[in-house]
Amino acid sequence: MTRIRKFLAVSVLLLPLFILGCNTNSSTIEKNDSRLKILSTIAQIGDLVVEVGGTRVQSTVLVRGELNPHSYELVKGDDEKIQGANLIIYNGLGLEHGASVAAMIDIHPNHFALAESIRDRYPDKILWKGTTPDPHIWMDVSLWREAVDPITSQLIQLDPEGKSYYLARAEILKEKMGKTDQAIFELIQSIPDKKRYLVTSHDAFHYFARRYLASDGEVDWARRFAAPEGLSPDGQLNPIDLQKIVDHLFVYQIEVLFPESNVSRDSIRKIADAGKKMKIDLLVCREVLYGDSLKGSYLEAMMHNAQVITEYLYRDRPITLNLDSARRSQIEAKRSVGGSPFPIGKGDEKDRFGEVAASLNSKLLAGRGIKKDVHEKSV
Amino acid sequence: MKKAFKVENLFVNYDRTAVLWDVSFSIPTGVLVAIIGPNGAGKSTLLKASLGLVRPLSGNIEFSGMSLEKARSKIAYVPQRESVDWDFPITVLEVVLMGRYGRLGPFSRLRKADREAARSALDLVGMSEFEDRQIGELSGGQQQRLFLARAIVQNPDLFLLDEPFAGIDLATEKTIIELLKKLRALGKTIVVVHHDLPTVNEYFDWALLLNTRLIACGPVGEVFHKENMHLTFGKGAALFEEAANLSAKSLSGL
Amino acid sequence: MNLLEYFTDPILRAPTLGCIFMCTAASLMGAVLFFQRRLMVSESISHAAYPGAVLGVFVLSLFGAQFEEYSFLAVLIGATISSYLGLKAISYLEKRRKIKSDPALCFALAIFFGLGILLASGLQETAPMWVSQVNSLLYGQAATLTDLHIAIYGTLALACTSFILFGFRPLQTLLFDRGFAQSIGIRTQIVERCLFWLLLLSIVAGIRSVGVILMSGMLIAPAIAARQFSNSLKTVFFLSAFFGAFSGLLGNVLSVEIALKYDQIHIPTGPMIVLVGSLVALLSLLFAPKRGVFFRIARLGLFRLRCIEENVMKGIWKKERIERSELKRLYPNSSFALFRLINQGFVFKEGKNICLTEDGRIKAGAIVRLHRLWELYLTEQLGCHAERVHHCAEEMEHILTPELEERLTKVLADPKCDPHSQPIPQRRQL
Repeated sequence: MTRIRKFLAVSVLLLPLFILGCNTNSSTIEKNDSRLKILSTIAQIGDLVVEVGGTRVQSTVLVRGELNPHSYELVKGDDEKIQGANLIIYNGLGLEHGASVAAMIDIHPNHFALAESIRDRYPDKILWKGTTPDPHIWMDVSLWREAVDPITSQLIQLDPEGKSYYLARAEILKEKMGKTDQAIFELIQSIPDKKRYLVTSHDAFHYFARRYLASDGEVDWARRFAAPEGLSPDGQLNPIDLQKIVDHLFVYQIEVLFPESNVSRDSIRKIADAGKKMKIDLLVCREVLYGDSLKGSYLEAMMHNAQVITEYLYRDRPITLNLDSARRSQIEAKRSVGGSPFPIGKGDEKDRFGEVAASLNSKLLAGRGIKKDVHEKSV
Repeated sequence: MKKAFKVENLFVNYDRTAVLWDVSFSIPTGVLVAIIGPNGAGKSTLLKASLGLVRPLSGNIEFSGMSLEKARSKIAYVPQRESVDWDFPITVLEVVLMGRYGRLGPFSRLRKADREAARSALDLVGMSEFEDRQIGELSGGQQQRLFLARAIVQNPDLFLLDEPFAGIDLATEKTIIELLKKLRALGKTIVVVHHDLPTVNEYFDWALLLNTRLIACGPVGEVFHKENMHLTFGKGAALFEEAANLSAKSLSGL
Repeated sequence: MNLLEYFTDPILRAPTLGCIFMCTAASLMGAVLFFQRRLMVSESISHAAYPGAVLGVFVLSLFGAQFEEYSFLAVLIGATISSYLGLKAISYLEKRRKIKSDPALCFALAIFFGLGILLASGLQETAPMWVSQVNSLLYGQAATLTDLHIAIYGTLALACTSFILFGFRPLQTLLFDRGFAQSIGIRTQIVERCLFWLLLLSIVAGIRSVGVILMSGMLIAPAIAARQFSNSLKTVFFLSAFFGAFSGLLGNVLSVEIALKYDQIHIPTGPMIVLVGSLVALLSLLFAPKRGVFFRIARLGLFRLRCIEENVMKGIWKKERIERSELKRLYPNSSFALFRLINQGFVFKEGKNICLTEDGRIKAGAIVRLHRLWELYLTEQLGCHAERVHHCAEEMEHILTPELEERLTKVLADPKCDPHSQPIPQRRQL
């Protein structure tokens, strides 16, 4: 091979390194700032910190943009953020189970688990999948509102002079959250009961379902939400998961699939494709929902979700599902047995693999105890 | 009368080292030729280059006046035994039948005639009872005879054998040389890379002395004498090899 | 769930059929690699494909989010390019730099795969939404295969099968004796080029289902399993394809059935397929008739038992009759052998003594004959010392076949005495 060709081949191989290396991590904490430096793991927490902390706090978020908080591992630049922070606020309940993140949190002298503090105060309100807790608490704005007070007291602890400042801002925030919560509730409830079913990419919307999708006093609200991937979307799918969704679509005559912003669309595409083969016209929503990530502020994202869901579910379309008789009787049989194909909230089910998953979260959950017999009571 | 095997000005390099240098000779039909030379002299390479297995730097090769492509079906090549994986799942008969693959198109089947030819070739080399054996079960001598049977089934005019007598027992050696003499009597030309000097006189008609360059080529009585042996194997010859090695090293920067 | 549903249900049929076809293609190419003695190349190819796949996703991400469904294509093109480069790197190292094949393979594997991981983490920064596409490349995602993949894999399997079927003769010759193949005019370069591309494409396409890390398992395991069962190249190819397809099917079935039965156990399909394939290979190595470890051990045990039996018979022959206790002293492990001899009718008990029956006497005599013939052969033909030959003859007497005995008799000119001047029992005239 001539010299020129060799040179070209090598530079083709190395070019991508240059391209990717050009993206510098611009959000480093300046050490000379006198403000309180709070590092939040996810944007949903960071947003609250910004609102409460205002100008007295410099807030940074670890898992930026569309990255997956479940499997996030530390990258170059995160070390500085961590070392420079006065306090790390993380979600807990097994959300951040990347090993490097868990280790980092443990090492830091000052860290606080937000969702776990909510769990400690309202153990009944936490949802469980087998023996694994569902960490997506922020999807229920009314419950996430309970996170404001712990944040405020943490800030006050670190910066006692700003007490009145933080308290005032916290009140404003809580009121805003209350209003948004109500608005979302009304919007979603305006969807007729028969249509109020949500199918997305992964198990992020259980709290959302319980708060907003459930009809008044409904006990069996769990059926209103389903997704092929589990609590942590890592792509290890089983065809059974997809089949369960398709059956679910049939049983409740759901026609719309909602992709999420940072989860692979492969499973949604496959379900829509399978649906086409079975002669159902499934619509894949053109907009994304924000489950694990955010766009704009937390409240804006939640509102966006509600609006998109309402718009797509409330369409006045005739139901066009065509079932052949064999399939129909199969489904009727399932319906008569009752219950949800996706057991959620029953903490007393035998869940062998849940134990394995739970033990993997040992860093964060150790010493806090997994309450196996807690199940959710109707609100 | 066209020469069975004619080579003109053959130069073959391997990694900038000369393996064959300006080799020219011609071998008439119906002779049993031994190619003799020290290790690394290029004996195997000569056969390989003639068959196109190794690309020469330059040179002209003719078989009875024809180019390699035209003459291919009339040449049988028996490579060294160690070049083959003897654990391969194949029977003795199948190996012999391989000799017929050259003349079959991609879609034609092996016919009864092919099978019978294979069987008679096995009979000729005395391996008929091994027809269905796996080749891994054969001894060294039997393996060599098998290769010879495969060559015979090709019905060639020219045989090129690479070290057929390496590592086999005396009895098999005698059998093989008898066979080669029979083939010669039928008018075939046989070229053998040979390493056992004492037997050259007894087995072969012609000798080709090679040590990167051609030392001599002709009837055994004429060329197989002390002076030529000295030129082929002696210290004088080794000098050329040393010089060639040095040249190769300096060209690769050592 | 009945078996037919795996081929008809819109969710299940694409993973099932796709994996079956993909495994068929991979296992055929694996068999070729097996006979070329280069199975580890498959590992290097699959790992070398990773950086290209990541780059392909990155390039696609530049075009916008709406092109996510074409990721498969981007991955395929990128992976092909980078594994091609990987193979070129390996051959450069082996041929030009004279590095042996093992280090060259490892070098390429490590460098390319490391580069891939680097790029993947870089992708996290620049195009995080596409990261999930890249993550699924490590272990594959068979569950989300669509009917398009059935077509792609089916074509690939068809290409591989046709090539091997129609090109069987040149392939067989090439694999057995490359030099000879070239000499009879087979276009070895073309055949090898086709094999090269089929191998590359099988591995690169298979990454979607089984992943970079496990792909080579689908080439290696079926080939190894198949070789244990047959001594015919055609059968080995056929069995390879069969075991591959079987692993593909069973892997799918098991992963679904287990998930159905145990609600919380979710085994992804790709790794399950490789697990099944490896298990098949392991069972073949252990239990294949003839070559299986299990049968070899059994056969060895039987041979040893026969040796003991024959030794016992010889011992009795020399002394006409022997006392039970003395027999136990001379041959300590012989109780079972004795039991069998009595059953087989070569030996019988007479009070405290053990004697040979008529048949036993003949058989023992034949063994002694072999022993003494061999001793004579060693001393006469090969010039060994008489004191040294006994031990060797003790082993050979159990091994010599009647055919060899005949030849020995001829060569030694029907001898009557052995080197220790003991009489050689004559052959029984039938």
